[in-house]
Order: sequence, then C-alpha cells, then structure tokens
Amino acid sequence: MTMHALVPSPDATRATPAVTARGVDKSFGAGAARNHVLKAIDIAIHPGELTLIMGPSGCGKSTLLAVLSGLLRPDAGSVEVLGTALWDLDDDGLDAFRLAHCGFVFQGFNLFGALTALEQVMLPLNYAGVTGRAAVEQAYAALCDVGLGPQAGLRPSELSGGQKQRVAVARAFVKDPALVFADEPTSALDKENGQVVVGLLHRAARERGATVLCVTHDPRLVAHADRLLRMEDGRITADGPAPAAPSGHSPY
Amino acid sequence: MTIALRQPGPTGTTLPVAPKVPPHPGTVSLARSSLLYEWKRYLAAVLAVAFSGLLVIVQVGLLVGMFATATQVVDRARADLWVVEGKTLSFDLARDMPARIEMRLRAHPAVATVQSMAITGGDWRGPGGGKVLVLVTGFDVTDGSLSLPRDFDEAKRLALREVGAVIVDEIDLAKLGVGVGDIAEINGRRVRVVGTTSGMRAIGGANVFASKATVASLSTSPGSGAETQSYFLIKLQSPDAVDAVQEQLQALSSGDEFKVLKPDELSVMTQLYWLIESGAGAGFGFSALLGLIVGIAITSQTLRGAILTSLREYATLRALGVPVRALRRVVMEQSLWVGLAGLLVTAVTTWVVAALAAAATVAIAFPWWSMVGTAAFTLAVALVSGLFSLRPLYRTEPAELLR
Ligand SMILES: Nc1ncnc2c1ncn2[C@@H]1O[C@H](COP(=O)(O)OP(=O)(O)OP(=O)(O)O)[C@@H](O)[C@H]1O
Ligand SMILES: [Mg+2]
Repeated sequence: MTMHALVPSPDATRATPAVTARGVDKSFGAGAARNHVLKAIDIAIHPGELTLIMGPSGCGKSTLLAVLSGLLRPDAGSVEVLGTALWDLDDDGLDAFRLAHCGFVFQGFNLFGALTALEQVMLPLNYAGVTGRAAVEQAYAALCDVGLGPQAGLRPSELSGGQKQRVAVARAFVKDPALVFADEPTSALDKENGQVVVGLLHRAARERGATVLCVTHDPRLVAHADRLLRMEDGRITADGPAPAAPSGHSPY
Repeated sequence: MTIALRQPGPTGTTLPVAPKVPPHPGTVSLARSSLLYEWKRYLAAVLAVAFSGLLVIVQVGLLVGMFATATQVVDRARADLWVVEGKTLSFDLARDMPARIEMRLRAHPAVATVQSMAITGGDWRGPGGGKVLVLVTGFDVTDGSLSLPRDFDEAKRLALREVGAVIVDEIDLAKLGVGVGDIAEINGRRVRVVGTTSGMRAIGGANVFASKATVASLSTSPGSGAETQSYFLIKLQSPDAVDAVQEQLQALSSGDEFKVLKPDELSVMTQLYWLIESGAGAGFGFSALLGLIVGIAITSQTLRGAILTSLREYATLRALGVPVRALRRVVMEQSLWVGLAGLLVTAVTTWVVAALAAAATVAIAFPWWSMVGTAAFTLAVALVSGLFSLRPLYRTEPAELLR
C-alpha cells in the first residue's frame, strides 16, 4: 500500500470519501490572545475504515473532530459530509443531520445515572422517532452486540468502567449511523477494556461500512486502525496506513 | 432501520438461541426516571412548592373562615333572593329602605312570599355586669319563615316567639357572661337566653338572635321600623326561574333604590368588603408573594442543580442530534411533576390542618375556589421555577463540554 497524499485525491481503490474538509480554519480568542488551532486543513475520511488521529496534547485534534462532526463551526473552509455541505446548514439542520447520521463516543461515558443500560441506548432512538417494541428490540440488539445483553437492566452505578463505555458505544451505534466520531474513547479504560472498545469501533467500520474517526493518545489502538493521521500544531503532518504491530516500528 | 441480531459478542461466543428481549414499554421518560431515581434531590423542591401552596390555602382558609361567620345568617336562611338598599356594600352594614318596596316585590307573579328581617345594634349587660357590643338579628318566626337559619329546629322557633327571648352562639356564652336560661339586658331591656347555636360567632362583639318583635322592642329610636326595612327576603314559586326573576325585580328599582341578590352573591360581596376593609387582603397578598418568591427560589435552584449534574449527559444527547427544545421539555416535565407532587403534599397537610382547626374550633374554610386557586398557584410556582432553571441547558455545547 502507498502513503495517502496529504491533500485528498481521487483514489480508485476506495469509495468516495464520506467526509471531505477543505481549507478548514479555526481560531479561538482575539488580538494578542488569538490561538490559531486549525490551520487550513484539507482531509478526506473514507467509509469502511477506522481512521485514527494522533498528536500531542493541544494540537487541535478535538477541535478538528468537532468541526468535522457538525459540533463546532469553522472560521473558514468547507466540510462536506455524505454529500451535504455541513456548515451551510442552520442549527436545526445540523441537529437533524447528526440525529440521522452521527454517533459519538467520548472519554467520559456520560450515562444518565437514572437510566438502565437498555434505556440509555433507547433514548436516542426515541428522539429519532423509534418507539415501542421496535425501540426495545433495536436497543437490546445493540447492547447484545457489545456483549452486554445480560446487563441490560443495570444502571451505571452497577456497571464497570469498561461496561459503561460499551453501553456508550451501543448508544452511539444503535441508530446504525454512517459516521462514528470518538474522542479518546479508551483513555479511561484499562488495556483489556480498551481493546474491546476499539475492536467494536473497528467492527463498525468493517461490518457496517461506517466511517469511523477516532482521536486518541493511546498507541495500543494503532494496531486496529486502517489509517493513521498525525497532527501537530493545527496541521496534518503525516497520513498513512497504520502499522501492523502496535509497539513495533513506526514510520513517523 | 433495523439492526440484525449479531450474537457473537466481542468475546466471540455464540448464543444458541435468540436472546429474550427484556420487557419495556419502548419509550424512555428521562424526566420521570430521574425524579424517581434521585427523589431525594427533588424532595427540597417538592417541599418548597408544597410550602407555598400551604401558605396560600391556609391563609385563604382562615380569612374565609373568619369572614364567613359574618354571612352565616345569609348562608343559613331559606330565601331564594335578598333585597337590600342599593348602596349597601356589606350584609351587616345594610342601610334602611322604604317599607313600601315590599308591595312592588310582591306584585311579581313569580314571587311566592316576601318577608322582612330586622337588625339592630345594642349594649349587652350580663348578670355579672360586663358590657358587650352586640348585633341583634330579628328573624321572622312564623311557620314559613325565610330568615330563620335552617339549623334552628321547631323548638327554637317556638322559643323565639316570646318577646325578649334570645339565642346566642355557644362560643360567645363566656364573653356575654351568661348560660342558657339566664337573664341579661340589651339597651336596658330584659332578655332571656333560651338556647345556643354554633358557627355564628361575630368577628368582633357578639351576635344575638331573636324575633322581629324582640328587635322592635329593643329599638332605641321609637317610631322607626314601620316605614323602613333593612332586608326583604323572597321565596319564589319555582326556584328554577331565579335568574330571570332577579333581573326583572332589579329592573323595578329606580336608580340604586334597592339591590336584588342571590344569597351567595350577598355573601361574597360581604366577604370581599371585609377582606379589603380590614386590610387582611393586603396582608394576605404580601405573604402569598413571599411564598411565591421562596417557593420559586428553592425550586428553581433544585432543578438547576439537577441540570448541572447531568450537563455532560445532556451535551452527549445534543451531540447525538437531540435538539435543545427536547431537553427543555424534559426539564419542564420535571417541574410539572414536582408541582403535582407538591400539590399532593399540600393536600395532605391541608387536610391535617383542617382536622386540627376543627378540633380547636378555629374557623377555617376551604371553598372550592380556594382549592382550585391554590392548585393553580402551586403548579405555577413549579412551572415558573422550571423556566428559571433552564439557563444552564443553553450551555450544553458538546464541543465545549466533551473535548
Ligand atoms: N473553546 C475554546 N476557547 C479557547 N480556546 C480553546 C477552546 N477550545 C480549544 N481551545 C484551544 O485550542 C487548542 C486545541 O484544543 P483541542 O482540544 O483541540 O486539543 P487536543 O488536540 O484535543 O488536545 P488533547 O489531546 O489534550 O485533548 C488548545 O490550545 C486549546 O486551549
Ligand atoms: Mg482532545
């Protein structure tokens, strides 16, 4: 396999990109305190792949993820997701777009203390208009998918950290989203649970053809990734297939 | 959209049979689940709402209870309509009107009976010598009396036929310094206590009930009473026609010569007059306002605290595409439930207060309008609190919270 070009170019061996960013620019603050976080980023993310973004703390990874997923409006540039110019949408349009197409997994599990695992997963379905028997079946299937069928009736206080993150993954996957965004999904987990969660992300890409974009510090994830983007100081500095071995030779 | 049941879990084991889907209605109520699961957190809000409600209903109850005693004579009489002088604002402050009005009232074909009722102030001097200001009401004591209270039995009616016979409220016996059978004086004329009634005590002074003839005998200005009357009481042929007849009789009045009122209209007019005149209304308004402020402050802070602890969870839902208005609905539903729970606590405590008041013979009353008003007030406290607590929700920007 060859290195991917820094600038997205048509690649005959791949499907059309699900996410294409052109000239994305973002700064925080103004005047002397101005912090230029994303510097004219061009990027294309492909369906059916688990793409990792790695880089030093503060280089702008989370900011890039937010811009690509419709959570944070860039100062300049365009983002096209599934053929839609994301930042031409109004706020309601963005909400509707994310509800239809996007799943999110964050470092914190962010589960409601009052809800059982089944209900956590059912909640986004309800808001997407799926209720009743269909909602229960889909939510339960998603829980079984992450191996938590027997824990469906438990609340977060009765679940381990790894189990909680798997519930969060099930919640992100239950709508069968075309895009999955994960920001440090394994940082709060031990090795084993981290492997399970990244395995689930990988499977979503392989088996469902989802576009999975994952920001991480965790070198153990590299072995599972299809593609690795390096980021430094607001720019993509390297782009290539992930090396096969997690702790082996790195081309970067 | 359905998701196929793929049952190797991440561990790779395959279940031999399709897993049993757990029972669930299929709709998650975040509002109700949170309330039930974290009820301790919401208890403060429920109690604050209940406190506001209780403050209002007990105060209204005490005021109504107090002023209702002023209109017991009206409320217990058997008349379909009352006629008072046109500028009268309160039942117990009725002015006199010409006695000949009676003829015009009687001439209406729907009117079956017209009777008069007399009222006079007096100086009571008990056997012990103590002086009390009394209001003497003179009922018609004939067989078909319209003014005699419904709870006065035949024995009382016959007893009152004797000139000088009076009935007083049992609670006023001590104040008047008499017992049943004792002799006392009103305006220097002898009267005899022939019985007692209950629930008809006066706000100040004391009420004394007698016949029209007795009242006439006590009158300090001889000669008056023949040409003027304070009240006419009307019995209709058929009480169904009361609205129409009321209107037609009222039309007979030239200017504000007289007013034709249904008993409840006369009662409410009197109670409102006293509510305002005594200043009790203003005091009530002030403490209701205080209850409102305290209730809203505590309730909105509680709801706000609940939102703040779940801010990241809400932000995750926002990221997943749930619009802010849906989250707002969750909070408003919570405040509605807090209001309903508070209302329940108010109802129970009001019931306890009512029982205590009855045991202590404190006049307290809970008419339907005070209950409906309190319910509306209580729910308003909860819902306004919900609105005030919403602000943190607008800060649920996932890009800010979930970096
Ligand atoms: N809302 C904001 N206001 C001001 N500055 C911000 C804001 N969000 C991010 N920044 C700044 O932008 C830069 C990049 O932040 P970002 O969260 O994208 O970094 P990151 O690569 O995800 O870091 P980490 O690996 O530590 O999570 C940081 O210097 C940060 O201080
Ligand atoms: Mg980050």
